[in-house]
Amino acid sequence: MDCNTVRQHIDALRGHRLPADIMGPVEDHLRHCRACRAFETDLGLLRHGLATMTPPTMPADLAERSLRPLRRRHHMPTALAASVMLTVAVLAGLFLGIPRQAADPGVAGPDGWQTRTIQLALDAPEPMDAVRFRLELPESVEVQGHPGRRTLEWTDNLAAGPNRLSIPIVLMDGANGELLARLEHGGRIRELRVPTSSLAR
Amino acid sequence: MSTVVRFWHHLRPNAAFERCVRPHVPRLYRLAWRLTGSQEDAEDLIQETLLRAYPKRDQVLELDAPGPWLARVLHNTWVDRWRRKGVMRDAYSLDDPDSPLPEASTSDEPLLVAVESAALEQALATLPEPQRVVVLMHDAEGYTLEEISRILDVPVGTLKSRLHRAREALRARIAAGTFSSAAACQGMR
Repeated sequence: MDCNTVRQHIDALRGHRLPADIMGPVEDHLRHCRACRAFETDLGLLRHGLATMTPPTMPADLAERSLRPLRRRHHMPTALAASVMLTVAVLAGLFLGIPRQAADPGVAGPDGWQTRTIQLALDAPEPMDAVRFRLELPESVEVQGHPGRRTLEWTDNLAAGPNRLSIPIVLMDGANGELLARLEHGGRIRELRVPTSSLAR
Repeated sequence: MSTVVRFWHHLRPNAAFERCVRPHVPRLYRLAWRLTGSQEDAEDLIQETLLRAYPKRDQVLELDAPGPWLARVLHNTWVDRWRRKGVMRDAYSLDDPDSPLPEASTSDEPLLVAVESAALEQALATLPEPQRVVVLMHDAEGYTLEEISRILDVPVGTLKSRLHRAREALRARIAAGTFSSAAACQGMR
């Protein structure tokens, strides 16, 4: 095994990542080759020097500044439709309440899509743990930030009293069918069906 | 605040992407600074990187380790910038993985007593760009060769060879205390 080959294996050797059939010859070479041992010593200095070339401190607001344009870009269509709100109120007390819903007129986006924010108002008479939520979306309806997802599921707790869940959605051309919001707690299930026709303009 | 309000953050546009990306920004910044050598350019590079990554946010959110993926976007963005300026046109053609490695130094004694930052920076500037990138990513930033392979889309074997050439060159140049400006020009022509 020549010096160049051995020197390329030094990192893996010291990191215990060398296969056994190579490790033996590399170690044997290093034992007998002063030049390669000298190289390894210098390599340690070089690596230390490189690792201690410290960049200037990152500006504390860099992440925020870098992400802000994305946020603004993405929120613009939402802002356009800020006045468009569909409210679905659910009396969640033991899931026996009667859902109420009302829709405001919609605003169309430039590419044929429309944005809406659905608000679920959940009134729980007592704290409710581990409520399972499931959203089922018809074709051409997406939750913003989750393109292509037809279902979204999660579990969380409801506080006693009013709770509010806002769901920003995008309606694309051809949106048809029903959006289903399903809540499950203690074996009891509550389903809300919202026709896309009531969401679209 | 109702616990349900938290759901809104899960579903809110950008929230998941931001939450995923934000912890990686400091390491991306360090890499950007090492590549550009300028705080201002590093910040610009970060911003452009995130703009490029955003449309592929679903892909990012599916990754177990998005750091190397984001580093790849950053590196590609940086290369594109330089290519637009015509600076990096020939840089990669100078790194022929099939060319024989330089003869290994035969000194029986270490050549370096200490490595000062200024000397190291000068020596780094003389390296061909592909070698400079791999030695910075591996030895300065701690990326593994496998990660660098994914970031640069270059086989691990080639990276090993580049890293070895870079280290040998740095060692020799720092030891000699001379830095060839001609070599630097070749690397970043």
